[in-house]
Amino acid sequence: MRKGALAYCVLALLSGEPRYGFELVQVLGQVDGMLTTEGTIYPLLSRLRREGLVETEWRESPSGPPRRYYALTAQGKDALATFRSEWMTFRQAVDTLLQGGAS
Amino acid sequence: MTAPHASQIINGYLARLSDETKDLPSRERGELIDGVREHITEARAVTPEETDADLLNLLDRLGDPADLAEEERQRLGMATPRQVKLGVLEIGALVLTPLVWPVGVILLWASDAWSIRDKLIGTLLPPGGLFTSATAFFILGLSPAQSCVVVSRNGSPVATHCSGGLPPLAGISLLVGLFLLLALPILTGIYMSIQLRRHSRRKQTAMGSMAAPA
Repeated sequence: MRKGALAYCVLALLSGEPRYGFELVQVLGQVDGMLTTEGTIYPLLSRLRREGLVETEWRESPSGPPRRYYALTAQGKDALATFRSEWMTFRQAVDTLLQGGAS
Repeated sequence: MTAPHASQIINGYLARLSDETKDLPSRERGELIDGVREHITEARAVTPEETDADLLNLLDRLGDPADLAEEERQRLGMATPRQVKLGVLEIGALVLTPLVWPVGVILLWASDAWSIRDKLIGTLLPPGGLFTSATAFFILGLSPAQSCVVVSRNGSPVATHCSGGLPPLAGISLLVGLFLLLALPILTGIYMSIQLRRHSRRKQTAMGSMAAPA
């Protein structure tokens, strides 16, 4: 489940501005338990690109070699919006059931 | 500062990743390796005083190359390649097909380590195996060789009459035939062992994408 949600967290991170792989890893690393092995982000990004949810572009880096930037596509925005609403419903449902014992 | 063993550590990691991803489609494989390489470069750029331990921690966080390759396979809906399976059946087939062909061929077809094409080659190419070759040599050895009679007069030879034997052309084709009898079983054995390694490395079946979230 974490794996599935991770894809949408990446899409959410890209909705503001394009980011490069290592930058995504750094941001995700700040949230506990989101990214257990950092390298797995790369297979994920490659799949998102294959599915047309993100697109890539090389950009010069102020220091060192060019970076591959990932940006959200229109399709990616739609997928993220769909997931957002489904997630809200799902989270409420789980919360209700988890707290059900107390009420 | 660069860590003392930076290039060894990093190249070792990338070499393992390259090895673990051999079965992936080249585009995905390249993308994964490029991503990881870029990651290492970027991460090193933000580590001012880098030590070997920093590098090792960086690679630990990245994850084991085998795990990354497995993750990519799951994303692609590919099965994990089978480990090299070298059972009694395979060894028996490898040893016996060139030597005792009928037994070897039965083992060859019983094993699933070879493709149908390899099995056909193993069955048809060695003409009965070295066992048959040895028999052929034995029979030829019994066949009457060329015999010559020297006619001599007063102790000095004046004429030589030869009978039996083979005309030169037949002799050459016989030699070639014998050579093939010897070489084909051996070559087939070599081919089969190469195929066994290649096949077991690459063997993978398409599997439904289970890891992909909706």
